[in-house]
Amino acid sequence: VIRPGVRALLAAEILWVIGYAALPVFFILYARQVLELEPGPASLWLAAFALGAGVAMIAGGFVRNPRLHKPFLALGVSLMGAGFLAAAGSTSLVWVSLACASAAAGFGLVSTLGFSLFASLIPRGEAGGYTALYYSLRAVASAIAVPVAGWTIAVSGSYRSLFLLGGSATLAALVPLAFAPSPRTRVDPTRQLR
Amino acid sequence: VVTTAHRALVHDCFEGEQYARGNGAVEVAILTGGLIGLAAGGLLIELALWMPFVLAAVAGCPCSPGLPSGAYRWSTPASPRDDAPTRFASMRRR
Repeated sequence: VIRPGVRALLAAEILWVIGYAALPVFFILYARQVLELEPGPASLWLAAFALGAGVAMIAGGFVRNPRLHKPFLALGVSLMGAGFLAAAGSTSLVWVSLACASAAAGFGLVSTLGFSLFASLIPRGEAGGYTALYYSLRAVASAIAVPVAGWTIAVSGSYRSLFLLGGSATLAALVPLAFAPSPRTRVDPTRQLR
Repeated sequence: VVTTAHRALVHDCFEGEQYARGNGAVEVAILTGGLIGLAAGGLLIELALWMPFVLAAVAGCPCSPGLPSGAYRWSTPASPRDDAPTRFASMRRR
């Protein structure tokens, strides 16, 4: 039996993974078609995105209070979704850089705090099963995201739909995330005795 | 298997207020390893096509979470949270 609220968090996870998973695959093509960037500079943007996300991951690790995990996770989802939509709205390199910086910060927070919030919902002794559920759904969502993005580009005839799809799916994750429970701070009475 | 088992250790080895720190460290390590692996693979494949595969096979061997410390017990206790010897903190104290 899955604990209440877990399904909502898993649904949110599927949506935000669909939001970002296809972007590295298609970004080089997007950069060439829309931003008129060569693959070399475009791959440097991907590296900069990874560095920005890494900094946000480290920052996310400093959120110690479990009650703040959900609000910061929602902030990360919002930053990532808004960043993707903003990137689709312009061909200005400065504007797209700022939008991607927002998306990278959001991605870092989501990567760190998504599983942290989920871990607080795992019953004692069931870490393996719940963790497998979380990461298998992430893998399934990643596998779905690439063909969905490819079809969207093919149907719309524009690479901008890549970021529109990513931003929309990511922001849609806020709906199920609102139904996910926020952990209560637990006090372990035996902790001081150890 | 490695990904699932490694993340499950975050839940079993840290308290709730340390989940973000533990998981953040795992995510940063995966990101860093991925970037280093990408660069190393690109360099090695220039030398020989088979070399990145050998690196991938060899690099994973010493990465088992239990191997750096002989104190880690592989048997699963009845109640992991109540069993201090399986915690990273306890391993550091030894």
